[in-house]
Amino acid sequence: MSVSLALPTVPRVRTVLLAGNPNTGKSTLFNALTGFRQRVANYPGTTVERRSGLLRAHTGIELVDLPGAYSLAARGADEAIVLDALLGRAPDRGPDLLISVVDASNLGRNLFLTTQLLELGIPMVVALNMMDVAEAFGVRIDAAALSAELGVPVIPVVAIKQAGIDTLARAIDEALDGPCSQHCATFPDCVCAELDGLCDSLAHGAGETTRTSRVEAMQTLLDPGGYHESRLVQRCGRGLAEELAERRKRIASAGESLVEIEARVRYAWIDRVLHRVVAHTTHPRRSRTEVADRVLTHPIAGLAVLLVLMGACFQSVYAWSSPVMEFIDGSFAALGQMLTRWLPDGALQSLMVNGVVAGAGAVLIFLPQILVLFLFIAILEDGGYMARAAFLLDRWMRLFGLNGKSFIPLLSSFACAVPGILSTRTIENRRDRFVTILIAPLMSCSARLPVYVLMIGAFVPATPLLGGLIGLQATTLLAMYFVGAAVAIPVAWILKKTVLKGPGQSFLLELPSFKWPTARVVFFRVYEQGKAFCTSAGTMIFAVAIVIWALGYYPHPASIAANHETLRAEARNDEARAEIDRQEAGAYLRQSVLGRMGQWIEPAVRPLGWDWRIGTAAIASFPAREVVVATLGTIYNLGADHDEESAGLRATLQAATWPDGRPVFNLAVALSLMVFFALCCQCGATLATIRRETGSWSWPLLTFVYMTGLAYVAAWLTYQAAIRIV
Amino acid sequence: MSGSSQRLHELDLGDVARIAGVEAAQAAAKRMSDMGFVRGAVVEMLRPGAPCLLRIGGTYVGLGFENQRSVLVDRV
Repeated sequence: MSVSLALPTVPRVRTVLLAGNPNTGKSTLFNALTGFRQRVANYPGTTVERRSGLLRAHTGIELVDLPGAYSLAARGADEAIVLDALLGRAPDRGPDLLISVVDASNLGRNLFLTTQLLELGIPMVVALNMMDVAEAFGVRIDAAALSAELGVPVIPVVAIKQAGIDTLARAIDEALDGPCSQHCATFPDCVCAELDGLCDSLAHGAGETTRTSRVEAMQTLLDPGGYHESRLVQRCGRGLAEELAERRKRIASAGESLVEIEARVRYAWIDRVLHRVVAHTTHPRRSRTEVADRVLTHPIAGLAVLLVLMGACFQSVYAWSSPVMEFIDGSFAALGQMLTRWLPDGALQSLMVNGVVAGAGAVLIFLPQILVLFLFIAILEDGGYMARAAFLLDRWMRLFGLNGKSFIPLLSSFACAVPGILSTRTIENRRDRFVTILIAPLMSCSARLPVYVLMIGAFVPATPLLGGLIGLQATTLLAMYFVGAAVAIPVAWILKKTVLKGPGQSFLLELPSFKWPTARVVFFRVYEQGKAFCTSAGTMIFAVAIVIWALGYYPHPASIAANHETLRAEARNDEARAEIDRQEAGAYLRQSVLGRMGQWIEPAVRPLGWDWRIGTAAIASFPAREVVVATLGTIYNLGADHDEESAGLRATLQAATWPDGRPVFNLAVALSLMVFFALCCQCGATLATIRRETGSWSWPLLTFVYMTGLAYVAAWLTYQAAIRIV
Repeated sequence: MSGSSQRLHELDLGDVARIAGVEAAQAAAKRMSDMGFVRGAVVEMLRPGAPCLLRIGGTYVGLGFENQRSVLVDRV
């Protein structure tokens, strides 16, 4: 055996892009090729992040999953990402290979993008996905014949069953240095002439025109008002805009319809290809999707189904998770007691028990509910239902100036506003998109759930309603989710009438065929959300909890201990001694930095029925609202006696009193606190995302100001109404 | 596209029609063409209304009123 001392040549990492229409199973194929996990959605355009991974067993090949796109003529912000990646603009350099993912059961429409990609002059492999679905519909595709027509390898796969993946991986490896397809659609002479002229003037008559820049020029010429035009005009100046107008006028005067010409040429070619490669084995029958849609898209029956689904979802969130939550609650209480016994009295014990354990426990307890909520969303998304909901709600959303496409981002915002805001990229109209972004944080995200669950569990009685079908607690939870959505309606309407005035956008959305949700896809979706929640609970929330503990613990003057020691010596029995312990803890908290801050703002929160401790918790939760629970846990624990039998935060809050002995919390205070958190914008991540997506600080500022104002007024109204009624 | 007397929003439930053209003035015209709404394509009206539900080729598409009005069709 000889050992080579020569340095191994490090091969350049090759970039392979996965492109395709929405709902083609592109993300599932990406998972199968890389072993990477990514959630799969069924409505167009949710893959907004750049996901990449190494091709299995090929360390030198990196795969990037692009967002779904119907055409290179970019409309939404999402499709602009696809184009930038394909044309080799930042952050990626030009790709070495494209994989065009095609839905075999809907070959014609899918080949449109493929014919555009072929012209880029980049080596390509076509992954013919969902062959099983196509065959079930009686469609047989001759992959070899299609390959001959397109001039690139065509590999049949069933990504969801991992079939054909090895063959595809081999084809990718072989095609990397292979030839490009010479296919090019034949456009009428007048279009070709204008295109040649445009290419020349873009290259300033000098440089050589590459195939890529020719594609870009075509999309600029044939898509008035599109992404490419505005981008190029920005770069080249007004002169280009005038030139484009001239050239388009000449195409129109030759009798060609500018917006239709590309589609007509490509679909005519596609029809000829389909004729040669597709055979219908059986007669197409009514699909299950069509049968289901007779009910599910019905304006009354469909809406009823949607309401029942949402009701069932919220009821399960409450019913299924409570046993697990009680278990988590008990475990953290036991852990706290254990640490109290093990650690000596003092700052370290207080930090561990009141800061770390109370803080982490107060947040992690909500994991079961978040998982159940995401289970529902994942099943509905993967099954294809979400687009139906958008379809049903379009006519209603139009009433206050939005459209059905806003529903998907808004619904995602019920889990978390950040992915919700990102998914507004599929809304092409800028004003519609901005209105959706501004109201998305009003949807009750999972970070509010901890506040609701804590307050409802402690202060709303578990009275059964409707003969035990749904409980009063679940109804209150549903009402809290409803508050944000209901307030969003007038807010959207006002925004649409003032700062974001303008015409709306007509509905245009593909409704994907229904399919059974895949256990793997649903599982990983729920798992990723749970992991993300735990990570954020483990970092930011946790850090804030400790800071709040420190502010509430220091300064820790010895004089208070000395005073109470004297009193304790005089105490006659255990009960009196326990009372003195409580007073001592309370005295420490009032003296602390946090206590002084809280007392300073108390006049502002008194009208809401809050004591200074709640006010402090609300302020401390500015970076992330779920922190309020941990903060309440820390603050009330610091102010409470460390009773061995103290059973969690719920009991602590029920026992909390004003200085005169009245309980701090009652139903009215709980409702006011919940309404405040339903409407406020205590979320640094959301504000940062709005800044990124809108490109300006004024939008997040507007969001924060209007939401905080609304939250304060609504909480005040709620409290004043509740103390008069209850 | 001469001779077409109807637009998509005028189709009834179950009507099958051949597209005669898409009006260029509409903002979504390019997108609709790219999605397969081209001269000669056959659509079936599954649920009239705004938005309506159509079958075009192997896909189901929801279309709002303005978008329906921009598509000229001939019933077959």
